[in-house]
Amino acid sequence: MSTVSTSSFYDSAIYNMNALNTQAQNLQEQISTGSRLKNAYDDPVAAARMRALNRSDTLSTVDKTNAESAKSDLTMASDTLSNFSTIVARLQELTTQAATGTLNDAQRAGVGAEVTALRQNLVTLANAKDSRGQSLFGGNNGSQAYTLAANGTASYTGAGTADTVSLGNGLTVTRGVTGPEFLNFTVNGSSTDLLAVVKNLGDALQGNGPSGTTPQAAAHAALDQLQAATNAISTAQTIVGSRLSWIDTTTAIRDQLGQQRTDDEASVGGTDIATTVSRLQQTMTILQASQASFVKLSSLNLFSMIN
Amino acid sequence: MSSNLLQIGASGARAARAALDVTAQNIANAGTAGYVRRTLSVSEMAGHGTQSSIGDVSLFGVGNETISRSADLFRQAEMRRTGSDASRADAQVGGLQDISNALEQSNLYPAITQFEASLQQLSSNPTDTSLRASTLEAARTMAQSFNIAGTSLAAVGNQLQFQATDGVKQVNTLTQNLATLNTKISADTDPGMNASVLMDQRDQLLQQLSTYGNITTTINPDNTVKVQMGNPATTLVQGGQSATLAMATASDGTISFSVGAAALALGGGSLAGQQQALSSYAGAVTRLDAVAKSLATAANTVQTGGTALDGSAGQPMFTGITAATITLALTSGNQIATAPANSLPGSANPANLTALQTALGTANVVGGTDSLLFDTAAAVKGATTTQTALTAIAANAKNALEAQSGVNLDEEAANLVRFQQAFQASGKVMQVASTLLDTLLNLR
Repeated sequence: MSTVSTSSFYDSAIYNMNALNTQAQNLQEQISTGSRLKNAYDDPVAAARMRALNRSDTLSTVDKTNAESAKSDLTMASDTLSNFSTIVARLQELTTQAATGTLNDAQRAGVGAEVTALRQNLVTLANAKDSRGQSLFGGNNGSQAYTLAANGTASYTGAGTADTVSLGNGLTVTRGVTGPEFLNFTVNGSSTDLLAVVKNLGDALQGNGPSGTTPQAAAHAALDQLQAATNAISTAQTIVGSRLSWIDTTTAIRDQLGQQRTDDEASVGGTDIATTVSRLQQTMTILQASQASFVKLSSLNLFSMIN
Repeated sequence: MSSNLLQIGASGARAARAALDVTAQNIANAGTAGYVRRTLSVSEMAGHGTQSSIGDVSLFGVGNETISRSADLFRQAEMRRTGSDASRADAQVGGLQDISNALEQSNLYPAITQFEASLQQLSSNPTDTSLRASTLEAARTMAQSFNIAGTSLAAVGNQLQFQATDGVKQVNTLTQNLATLNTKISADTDPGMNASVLMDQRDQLLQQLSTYGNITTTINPDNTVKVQMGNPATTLVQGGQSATLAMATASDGTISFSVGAAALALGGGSLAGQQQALSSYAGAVTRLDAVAKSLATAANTVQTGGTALDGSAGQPMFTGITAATITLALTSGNQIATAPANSLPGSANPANLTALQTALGTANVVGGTDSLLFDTAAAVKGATTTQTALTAIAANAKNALEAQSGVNLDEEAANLVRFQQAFQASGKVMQVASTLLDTLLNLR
């Protein structure tokens, strides 16, 4: 015989209805928060996955900022390199004029004055600052790229290499070029640099060159060197351009991964609205049915039948 | 003969009246906790008439009204045993959930991630003072999150210890009450209502006691109870005597129990659950402190091997090596040693910053925190599964006992009608007896 005592009938009815109510509330909360994980212990594995995904999101935001900063520095370097090549082109024009016999030395001295002025511009450009206030072509050791001695000779005082910036997922990019990487070149087996070449040219055209060298001969000699400088600068421009496109590539990769993470987050920790709503509906239906049957059963009392 | 009929009728009316009393008592106590349904048992009164021949049976009606409790000792013991298991699981799950919540809600993991992210961002421009300031604040937030996690965990430990202390107090009160009840029960030899009430109380005390610890009970022939608890089964109550349960708290926060000089291991009841939760708590504290220590050590080592923005040697970043005490020691973002040793002031060389990021990776700060969070959450999940099963088992045992010993109002309503009719019938019998006598007296 399995009789149910009156108190256990009420107890279990209350217990069951409470359980249904709790379940309905949980589902409602899942819908309203959009997250099916209220506590980490609801699903430890999913919670750990969500932690990892959120961490990647946070770090990826920083990677994006870093990439943008590297991109702006590289763009600035690229623009400055264009200025360099414009000036070098002008220098080539002037040198070609000075190398012809149609100019006299006084006129060459005038050209030499312009060359010296253009060199000033080159030095200023070589010491340009980047978006961080650091030397654009001086690496990362905190000093300016080129220091001028009392006699006007420029010497490189920056770091040996440019910084690398992390782009996330183990990818890096070098955020610039150092001065020697595009100002130094080798002509006829001897290595020299643009600032020295232009200084010597300016001096020689104004009659202050080494003894035994005429200004016209000096201009002749400088033509080869300036051509080599143009080549070095355009090589550097190509390098900077390819680094910029590398940043674009990694940005595309990062965006793709971010999209994938968003999908993962939705599937791991998000609420599937359609399923959850129909489960809520089901729970509510069961709850209403149990309430109705409870009322029916509890009114089914023998005492009310006996008069 | 007819006077006998009157007597039989009267005994029937008496029995029906007693049965109605019992029914009324059952109805009145339908909702009383621990009440066991009373039943009236009666027996036929018959005997050999002294003047009649052998084999003749004289009828004397009904009598020997005895009220008994419909208690099933096995089902009661089952309910206590399963209840013990369920309350152990409840206490353990509650404690573990608190531990998991304390760690989770401190936001430690996001704070560590934020610190990592700020280091990463700083590496793009190590000389930027606003980035340095934000890195310093991220480090402060992280240290404070460790503090929050540490102090919340300690609060959980204190709460569990407090609950266990209270549980031990309750156990000792209950065992004293049981000893007192034993004395009363053995002194009360009246088989009537009073003894039943005492036994109801006894069973209810046993039920309460079983929620704190796993007990085995032996009901003696005189209805007193011998209570043993834990493993090895240690006698807490015997006759009018009760032993005192004691609790000791170790330095790591774990608790142990003893009776007299003997240690006592509990396998069930909330005390056992709190003991288990406290041992998980001690483990979590150790692991959290280990993460905090490896973080502080790694950061300080790298920091002191580098150069700050003003060109001075780096100072330790954190003081304190436990989760509750770790504090940011730097006061300005410029003190973060991003550049390697012997760098110029204002150096943008991020080599030391990279070394710090690598050191944090090697110290496994993120991984250690993640696995701590995962393990505590997984422990809750596992314990919850057990809890669900044990709760269902306990509910079944309770239902089984209630089905057998509880009051069903429909049944009592039927009994009410039945015994009312029996009473009326017995009255009719008496009326018939009276009529018969009158018939005889009126014969002339």
